[in-house]
Amino acid sequence: MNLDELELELRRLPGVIATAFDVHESSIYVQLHVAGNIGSGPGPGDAARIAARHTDRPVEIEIVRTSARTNGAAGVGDVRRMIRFEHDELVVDLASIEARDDASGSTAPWSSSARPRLLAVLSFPESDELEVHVVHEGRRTIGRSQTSRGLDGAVEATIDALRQLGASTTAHTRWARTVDHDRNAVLVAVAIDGVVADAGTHYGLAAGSSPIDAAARSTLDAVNRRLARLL
Amino acid sequence: MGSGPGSAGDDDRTREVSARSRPEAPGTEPTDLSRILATSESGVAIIYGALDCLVEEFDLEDAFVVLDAPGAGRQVFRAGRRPIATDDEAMLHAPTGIYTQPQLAGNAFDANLLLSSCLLALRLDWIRYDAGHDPLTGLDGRRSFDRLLDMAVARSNRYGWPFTLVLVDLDDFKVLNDTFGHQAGDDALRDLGERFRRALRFGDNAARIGGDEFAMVLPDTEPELVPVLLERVRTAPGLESPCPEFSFGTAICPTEADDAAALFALADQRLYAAKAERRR
Repeated sequence: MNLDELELELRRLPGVIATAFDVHESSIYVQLHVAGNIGSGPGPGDAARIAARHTDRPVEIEIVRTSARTNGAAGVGDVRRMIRFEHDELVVDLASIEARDDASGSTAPWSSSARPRLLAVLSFPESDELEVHVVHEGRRTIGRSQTSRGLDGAVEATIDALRQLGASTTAHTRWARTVDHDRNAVLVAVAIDGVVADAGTHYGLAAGSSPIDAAARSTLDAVNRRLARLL
Repeated sequence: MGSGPGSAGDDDRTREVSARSRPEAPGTEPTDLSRILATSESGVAIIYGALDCLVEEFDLEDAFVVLDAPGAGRQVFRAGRRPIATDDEAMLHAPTGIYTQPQLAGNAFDANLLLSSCLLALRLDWIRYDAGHDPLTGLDGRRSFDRLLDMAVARSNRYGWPFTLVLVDLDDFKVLNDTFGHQAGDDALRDLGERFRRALRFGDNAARIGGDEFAMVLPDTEPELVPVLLERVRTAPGLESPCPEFSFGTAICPTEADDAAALFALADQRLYAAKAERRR
């Protein structure tokens, strides 16, 4: 990721006065200070789309709007008294979703950071397309299946993405079930056969923001430790 | 945070350093700035490099540069790219200058040189950006796209990473221009550009490469998925106007061609075949 390029493109958005970043290993926080009222200038969607072109990490966008311009000749102290700041939007736009595959425990030398990680689960109901984006050591793959296949589809798309990373596996879904859910999260369990020959069934359990998201995470939970050694 | 010149009584932790000042003892500052200018790859990097250098050199808590760049409007940079908290927000409307916390004496460093360098650096970035982008759609321009295609071909040949090149051409663009005027033509191009921006996935790239011609590089995308993707372009959310009609042609690297010119020619040939088919 080139932060300079991202910053320059964000500063090109009309009304943007300042940008700031807080880069973490698993996500990037982007702060945009925008002149003008709500409805003018860029929205979080514009900024998120730009950020998503520059990074595959989850991105948090915060837009802080200033509602008044001041005379450039004023001193800073005067300026502070003249302007009114509206902290009108605090929008978290998860352009992608970070994997929580460290829950499966690590076995050296295949630390959790060396395993395939889930970047995003995208569904396009209008074209019955489901995509699972996975990254491993800088290489990104996209596994595909059908949205209409529900949890099974998410599992299959995840395995497809792992195959494209080079994992030679005949893994297939035995079953995938929603175990529990509330307003914020869904807990899904999966059973996967054929991860490697004669290895029996692998089970995975993970929570996610949606059923298909949780199913993809559960799939990684089930197969990651095995497959990471084969990549 | 801070106070400007002549604003006695305000919090004086930060103040503008006079742009007219000259260093009495330049010390390492010019050398450091030269190093930053010589080694930074972008204007933004130069500005942050200069601010960070200032913070380090004088053991400061913070530093800002406020610029009013022609064509760029007001731009504020904070050392370390750090978020701007409520206490610092006044800096967004401060006069052009360099602000430090704690305040430095006006002759501590050559503020004029530093400010000019930052302004020039930002201007250079703006010019570089404009050179690589299409002003109408905001997408990559032809030059950027050619470079991108060359890189994609090189990666494909080296690592075997496949990608599909898609050429898109608006249908009856001349008729649109002649009937409804060039403004309508520009609107159609802008609309399609926005649709590409909204519909394409991370890693996909779209560019406007000619009058009404667009091109896309879609990594790891089989050609049978291209119509699905283009349908997503046609039905991109949040756009009320109907999508302009277009035709397209594809070519796959490396299976169908493994150099940029041949890929382009193949996709172009298929594009015109699709157009001819449509006219029948």
